Amino acid sequence: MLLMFRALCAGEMIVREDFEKLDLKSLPLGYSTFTQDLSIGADPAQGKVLKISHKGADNPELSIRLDLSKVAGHTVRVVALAKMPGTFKPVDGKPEAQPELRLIVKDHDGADTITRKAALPEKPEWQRLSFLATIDRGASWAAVSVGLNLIAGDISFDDLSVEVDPDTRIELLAELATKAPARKLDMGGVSFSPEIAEPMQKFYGVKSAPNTMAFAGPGLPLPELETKIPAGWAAKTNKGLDESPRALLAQLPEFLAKEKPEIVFLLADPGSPRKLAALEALDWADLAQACGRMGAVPVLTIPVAAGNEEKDALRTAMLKAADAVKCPVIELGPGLVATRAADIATLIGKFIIGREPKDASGKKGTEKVNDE
Amino acid sequence: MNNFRIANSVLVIAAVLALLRMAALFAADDPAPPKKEPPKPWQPFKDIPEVLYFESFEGENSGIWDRGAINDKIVQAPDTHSFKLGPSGETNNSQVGRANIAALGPFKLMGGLRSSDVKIQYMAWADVQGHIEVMVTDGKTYWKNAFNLNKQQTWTPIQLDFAVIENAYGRPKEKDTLTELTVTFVPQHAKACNAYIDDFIITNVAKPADILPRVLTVETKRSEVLRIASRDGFAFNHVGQDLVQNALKASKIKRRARTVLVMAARPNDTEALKAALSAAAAKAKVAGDFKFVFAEAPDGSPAAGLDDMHTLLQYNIMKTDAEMALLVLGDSDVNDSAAPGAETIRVVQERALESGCLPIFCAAPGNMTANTRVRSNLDRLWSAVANSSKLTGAPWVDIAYAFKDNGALEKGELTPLGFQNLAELSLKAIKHADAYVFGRK
Repeated sequence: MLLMFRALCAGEMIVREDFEKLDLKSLPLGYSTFTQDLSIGADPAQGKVLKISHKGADNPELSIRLDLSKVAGHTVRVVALAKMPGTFKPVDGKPEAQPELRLIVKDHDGADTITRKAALPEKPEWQRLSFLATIDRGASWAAVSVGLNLIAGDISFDDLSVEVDPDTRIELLAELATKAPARKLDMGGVSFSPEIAEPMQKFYGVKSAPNTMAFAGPGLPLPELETKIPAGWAAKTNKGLDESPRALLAQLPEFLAKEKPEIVFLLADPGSPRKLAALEALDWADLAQACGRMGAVPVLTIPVAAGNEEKDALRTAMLKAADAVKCPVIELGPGLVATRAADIATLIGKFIIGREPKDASGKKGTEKVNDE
Repeated sequence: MNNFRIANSVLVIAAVLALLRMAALFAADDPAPPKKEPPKPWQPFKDIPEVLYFESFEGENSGIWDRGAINDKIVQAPDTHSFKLGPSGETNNSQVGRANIAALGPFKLMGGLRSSDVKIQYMAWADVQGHIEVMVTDGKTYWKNAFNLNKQQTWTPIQLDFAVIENAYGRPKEKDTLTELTVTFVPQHAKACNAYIDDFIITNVAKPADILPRVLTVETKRSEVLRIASRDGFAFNHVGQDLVQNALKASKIKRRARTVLVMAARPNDTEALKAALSAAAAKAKVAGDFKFVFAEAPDGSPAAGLDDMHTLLQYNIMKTDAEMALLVLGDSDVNDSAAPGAETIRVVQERALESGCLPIFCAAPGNMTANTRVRSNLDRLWSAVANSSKLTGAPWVDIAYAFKDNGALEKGELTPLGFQNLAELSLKAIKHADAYVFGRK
């Protein structure tokens, strides 16, 4: 059973305000401000930001009305960055008196439904405020705002955004990524960690064919791996996928778009007479990125270390690529590569895709795909 | 005892055989060290090997010359340039220009050449009478020649060979390696003056005057190819022409003529760029001559931005069979953390050329964006395009030129006028490449 982490594709961004060009004296349609305590100022890290410096009471805020035709009946992700180095005095009996990111939705009778996320005071660094909310189909008005609610204080906001029908896996998977085990190459030929799982979750395409993997790279054919597909997985293969990484940049995207594998093993060709490209590491990195662009999680399958700088050039280039892309790596090794592939497939399924190993579909075997 | 001797003899023979075998093995593994190649002659003109050096001061910069500056006021022919000597700082009001000849590549003057064979010619102009000195040095010793410049405000040809550039101990020898050449104009009576030089040529054996017409003919052809970003809005030159023509030839792939693949900086820019390119082609009366195809991902969504140039350019070149690729960059291609390096551009250019497609990057300068956080990295990306294009030879477009007009840029965004300017500029670069890379004049 899937953990229901699959959702829609990344949604439409209907609000994206970075305050770089906002003129508070000439606000765009749908924008409004409350009180004169707002200004646009420079921040060393963020560039131009919204600053609020308020002495108390009222609601100094910047509010942006949402287009109901786009949000009614939909889920939205509301995000903003906030920084509040100082503190504020709470208001007795009013727990909602706080610095906050807020979504207000009015129903037909004018009653408000408010979703809010508070900014933490005494934090000199920027903090990300975010929440998901579903806006009722019958809503009559909706707006997002950043500001201070009934309190005095100094605060900065930046990068306010609203995304309609977002890929909600981000929230759900974020926790999973933190739980991913740290595996190092020298501890069994597999490299995986929370730092890898998190960016790879963004790669994974929700339209991918479940439990499908593919092999590509100059290291093909690799019968040891191709004939021992991990249990529960099916493999797609095709002619023309045994090229150098540079040539594969032309070949692979169409194959990936057609077959939609969840995982692509990019296989090195240790000991081959192929002359490495001057920018070999960039070629592997871009090939891995291309897999991600097409919704597949790449796994760089690297040669074992030979202890010789010249002979290890390919391994070094691929490790550099893996480091740049932050993608999983397994090491080739006689009699070991199939086990390592099964291991990494399980880790990817669990911590990147969000699927328990026992939920695999049970498909097994290699399926040849026609060129046509 | 005999047995002992026999055993000893066998051991000695075995040892000798082993040594011989090892020697043979070493001989097989370690080939004789490569012969040290003599320095190759400096040949700025491959069809005129007698020319060792030529500078017309018509390029983007003054090459190996410093202390003075390129000037377009005092020239031999309209719309050309000369090199104005700069003040030496001496009380005699002399003016000087210095050429760093050590930077001239593998060839070293004298480089084994006889001083009587190496000849210099240049044009000189000064607004007062005086004498002009040519001095060369190897960093330790100086050799000098002086020539009276009697005609003021007239371009005068000056010819000499290295045999007359002397010091008290003689002239530069074949084995000397000269590092610097200076030309100094010393005015009579230390008058304030202006002095210029032009068409500086050094030849081996042949007389410069005999060879100069051929050199100037080649230079004229090169100047037709030359485009300078700060002057023309896009950059290309004869060195780049050679580089990209050789790279395209080496790819052994012939792409569809005049088909141009276009990748915008952002998916949202695609429609604006499409309309602008179409309008620009119509305005330039080449509508229908060039086919513009916009890049797409295999799922049909627009492919745009530097990331897609890295991952989807090869796929699109193969799919569209495009002969050229117009790759537009913008502030969305940088963030406020990682600084882009030259390799990020070079790898895209190399891959395109290997695929038989000429890449033309359009680089956005830092001052284009209103987002101050990314300004310095956008500048670095602009420099990466300029530097990488020098290495690969590919032409490139400076987007700064497209927003020179009022109203072409608003709050860091190209307006329709800005897109129109960019499209017209890009089309000029494309037409130029069509003529001087693909030879369709």
